[in-house]
Parts: sequence; C-alpha cells; structure tokens
Amino acid sequence: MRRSRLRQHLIYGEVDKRVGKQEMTPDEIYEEAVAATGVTDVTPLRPGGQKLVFRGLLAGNPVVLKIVLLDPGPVAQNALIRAHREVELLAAVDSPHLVSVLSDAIDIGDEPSAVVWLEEHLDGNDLALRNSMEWTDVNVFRLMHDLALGLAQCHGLAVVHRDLSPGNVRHTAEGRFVIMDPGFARHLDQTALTGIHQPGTSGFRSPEHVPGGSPTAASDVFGLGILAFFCRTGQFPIDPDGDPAAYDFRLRSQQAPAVRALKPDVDGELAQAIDRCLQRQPARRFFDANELLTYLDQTALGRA
Amino acid sequence: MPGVLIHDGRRTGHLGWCERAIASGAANGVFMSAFSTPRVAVPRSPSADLFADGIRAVNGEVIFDAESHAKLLSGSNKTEHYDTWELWGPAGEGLDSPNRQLQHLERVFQRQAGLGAPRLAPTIALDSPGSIEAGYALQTAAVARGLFGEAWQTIVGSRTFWRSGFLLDEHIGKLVALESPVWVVTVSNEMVMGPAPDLVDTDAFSGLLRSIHSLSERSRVILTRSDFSGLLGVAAGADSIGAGWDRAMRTFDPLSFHRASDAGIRIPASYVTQGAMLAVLRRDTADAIERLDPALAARLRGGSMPPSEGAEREHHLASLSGKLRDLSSLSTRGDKVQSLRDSYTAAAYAFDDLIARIPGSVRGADKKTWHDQQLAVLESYASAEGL
Repeated sequence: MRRSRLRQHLIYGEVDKRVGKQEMTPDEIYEEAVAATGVTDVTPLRPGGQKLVFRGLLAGNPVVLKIVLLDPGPVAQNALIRAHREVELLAAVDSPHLVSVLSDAIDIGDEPSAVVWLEEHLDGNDLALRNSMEWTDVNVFRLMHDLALGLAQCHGLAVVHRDLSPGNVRHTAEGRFVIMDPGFARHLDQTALTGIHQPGTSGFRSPEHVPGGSPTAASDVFGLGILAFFCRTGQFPIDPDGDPAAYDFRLRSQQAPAVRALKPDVDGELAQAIDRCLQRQPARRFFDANELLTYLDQTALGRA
Repeated sequence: MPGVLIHDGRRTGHLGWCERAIASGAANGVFMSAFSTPRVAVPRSPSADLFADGIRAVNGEVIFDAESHAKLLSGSNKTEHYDTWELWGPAGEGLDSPNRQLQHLERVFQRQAGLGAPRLAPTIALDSPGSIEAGYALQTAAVARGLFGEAWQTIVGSRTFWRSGFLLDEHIGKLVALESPVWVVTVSNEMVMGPAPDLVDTDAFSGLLRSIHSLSERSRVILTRSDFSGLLGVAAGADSIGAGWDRAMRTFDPLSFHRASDAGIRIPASYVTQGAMLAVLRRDTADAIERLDPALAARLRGGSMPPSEGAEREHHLASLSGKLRDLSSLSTRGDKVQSLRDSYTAAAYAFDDLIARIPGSVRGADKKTWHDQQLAVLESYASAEGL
C-alpha cells in the first residue's frame, strides 16, 4: 500500500526520472524515512520537485513528513551539512508564525540519498493572494507583522528563508499567517544544488536572487515587501513576465514603484514600510525582520 | 563633530598647524595615523598621547586610524612609526584568518582605548566585492562588532571596487547589517599622478556616492582623503571629509607609505585655493588672476592672497570648511545636490571667463579636472537617485 502510494506521488510530482540517480530506490527511501521518524498513517500531501511532502500521525498528532532526495556529489553534501545545522537551530524556535520543526534532519542511506524531517501540520490554506481575502491596510499590516515575527526568529539564528512566496505562507483557520519551508529547505532544493541558480519563486525574488548574488536577511525583507505590495495592489512591484534574463535585469536595475503610486489610499506609514522593504539596494531596506518589526510596532496600525 | 578632519603627516609643525586650524574653525579634528605618529615620542615627532591631548585642548576630534589597509599593500615599508604600535599578534600580519583578525583587532582597539579615541576597526583594501578578500573584510568587520558593539567600521576600495554595480550594493548591504554608528570610507588609488584630483572614472565615483547615500541613511559617514572632491560625498550624505595641505592628505597615495628611494630635498609646489571655483590652482596662476582683476581674484579666492604657505594652509581649510558647512546646513540630499550643482555652475562660468581672458594661465585642463569630472560624477549620482 505504501509503495503504490509513494510511486503515484513520485510520478505525479515528476521526479521519477531522478529516482534512478539515488543509490536507494524511492520505495526504500520512503520505508526508511517512515521507520526513522516513527510516523503512521502516511498520505501524500503535495508533490513537487525534489521535495516530497506527506501527512502522517506521530503519537496520534498530525504532522508533516518531508523527504528531500539528494543527488550524489560534494555540492549536495555541503548543502546537507548546512541543512542539518539549520534544522537543529530552528528546532529550538517556538513561534506561532514559523512552522515548528519537530525532529532533527535524518539522513537516509549510508551515503545519504535523502534527508527527512518532521514539521507541525498547519490547518488553513497557502496564501491565495488574489481571491481569499480582502486586502485592506489592516490585513496587509497583519500579514507583514506576522511574517516579520516569524522571519525574526530565522534571522536571529542567521537563517535566511530565501523563498518567501505565497506557497510558503499559510493562513490558518484562526487567522494567523505562518511561514513554512524555512531556510534549510532551500539548501536542498535542486536549484540550489547546482551552485549556479538561486532558489526563489518568480515574481517573489529579490535582486540578490539573481545568479551571482547571495541572498541575506535583507532579501527576505524584500520578499515580504513583494507579498505586501502584491496583496495591496494586485500587481508585482517588478514585472516577472517574459524572458527570465530580462526579469533578472529588471530586478537589479529597476526600483520598484512606490505603493501609493498605484494605490494612493494606502496608509502612509504602511506605505513607507512596504516601499522601504522594496528598495533595490539592500542597505536601504530594513536590514532584517527585527528592524522591520520595530518599525511596524511604532506605527499607528501597530499601536492599535 | 561634522566637518573637516586633517589627515596625519610628518612635517615638522604638524601638531601646531592642526591646533591653529581647529581653533580658528577651519577644521574639526584630526586623523592620527600609525604611519605618521609614533606611539612613543622621537625627535621632531610628538608622542601619540601628546598629539591627542593637544588636539583635544582645542576641542578637536581625534580618530586613530591604524591604516592596516595601507600596511597590507605590497611595497608599504615606511613603518618606523607604525612598528612602534605593535598592532599584530603571534599569528602574523594579515586579516585572512580568524586568529589574525582577532589578534589585530584586539591590539588596535587597545591602542585606541588608550588614546581615548573611538574604536575604528581596520580593514583591507578591496578590488572586488566578490573576492575572497571581501569575505575577509566582512569577517573582520563582524569580529570587530563582536569585540565592541559600537565599533566604527572602515571600507577601503579601489575604483574597480566602487565600479562594481550590484555586487557593490550587496557588499554594502551586508556591511550595513553590522549597524556601525560610523563608516570611514576611502577610495584607494593604485597610482597618483599629480596634485589635482582624478575623478575621470565617473562610474566608480558614482558608485561611491551611491554607497555613501546608503550608509548615511543610518550612520555617520566620513570620506577620508578627499578634500574638495569630498564635497560630492557630503551631497550624498557624508558629514565629514578628510583633507590637509599635502597631496597624501588630500588623496590616497600608496607611495606615501613607501620609504622614498631618493629622499633628497623636496620643495613642494606652491598653490592657492580658489574657493569659489572649488579648485586649487598654482600660485603663478593665482598671481595672473590677481593681475587681471584684483577684485575678481579676491572674490574667487574668498579673501586676500595668502602671503605664505602657512596662510594658504589655513585659507584652504577655511574655504573647504565653509563650503562643507553651507552644504551641511541643508536638510535634504536634493537641496545639497542642487547647491553643489549651483556652485559648479558658478565655477564653470569663472573657468570659462578666465580661460578666455588669460588662456596661458588658466587652461581647459584645469576646468576639466576641477569642474567637468566632478560635475559628471554629481550628475551621474543625482540622475540615478532622481535628485
């Protein structure tokens, strides 16, 4: 039963062609991952890329099991070392706005063919920007404040998320915004393993995500600014359409428009926060989520 | 204390000249250099303590700069004063390992604390923000902050460094995260050809101004060894500029850290500052302007003809300080840029007039050096910033 479910999951996620690169078969990886973490009642949640996501139970509580398949070679092994370090760091974090890591990162295989870990299971939905809610100033402020709280935990540990995008933000049933897939996952992504391409989701990348750059905490701040800008205006601050190279060029050469240029009714202090997040030069942004949070708390919306 | 800071030098009388300039309001303080001032007094050179006390007695600011970036340049061997500071630990010279970084920073900070000077972290001169050395510079800055949370930080880069576009912006972004209260910024020259500034590389100096703009959003910025060119930095957000009376005080000259192979008698050329032209012209040129029209000459100089080199030293610093104060009194970058633009417009008119009337004395090359290149940098920066 497990085997067929995984097989379907892998094929649906279009990673079957990569399976052959692993020293272990996907079924062996899956079996060992389940055994190592102790989860039961495992069902696929989300296919995609080289990362497999399952829902399961641990001691009767719902959890998320993540499996990242690794290519052989030193780049992957270096990424693995960084991932272990960051999982260890983030496992110590307890924030309602950052998904909880419930286990260490566990290597699968003698020369690891995969790495697995457990996260808390969140209800609600990924951020659906266009249709899930009315993006008033108050709601955009809540989004920024919640995500800044979660990111501040990462940045305090010198962990950079690197891919703040709607798919990595959960809006829970009780109204919290929660960051998922914190930094360590990015180290393990296929894109990161190449050593050339940067992780990130088109439309939600910072100038430092352009190949040759190196994302920092200020890059996450830029990503948060994109989310806020997009929510409030319905548009990307830097147009991602068309040729990727042209998008990269725009990211590095073009200053995002002021949010009030598109929506003049945006609250002034909120607009200042969004505009500063979206400064093309990292030195002119809030340099990390803590600094952004300090600003937000001093605004009228923050005091309300 | 915003204003003009006088760089260190070895000329006899340096301390007295600095004291007089500060007391008269023509300067606000000094940079003391490990290369120019010995820790322990030697004949004709007061000790660092005596120097610092003298400057503070006239309410001047004292900054001790170890200038490790100069020490680590190949060929730097003018170290008889530098060596008295004993700034390197058992791990050796260099900032390319954690041990070396920590040992050097601890020693530099200890010396600065002993002088009552701010903890100014040393660094290395960079040619590229993407280089291994840039990583060492970032590591050193982080260690400095770890040792002393309020440490001032240093950035030294060549024209290539300041010209490196987004890589420069990323590097500056990483540095800003260290939250230094003060950034001391230097353009290092590979070679200095003459007494006039060399701003022909518009992209490099535009990158410098862009970086100063970024750094100054949160912190104080001092642009060292820049003199009249430093006014561009003030327009971008710097609050102080390094200057002086010798070439090595007005621009970063790597040869000033070399022991001269021929230390024969040198008579410095004589110059007169033309404040309204934001320029320093040769004394024979100043004399020609005086003969042409004494009233015009007085207006362009900003006072009577300095009768001596000592008077010119004070006249130069007073001219520079006056212009810096004018710019600093303006509240926005846009206003500062416009004010400096207006000054260059007036200077252009004066150059064109003099070139037409005394072409043998004031030449197109003077205008190019002191006006055209500087204005090109200002406009490049202003255009990019929408100012």
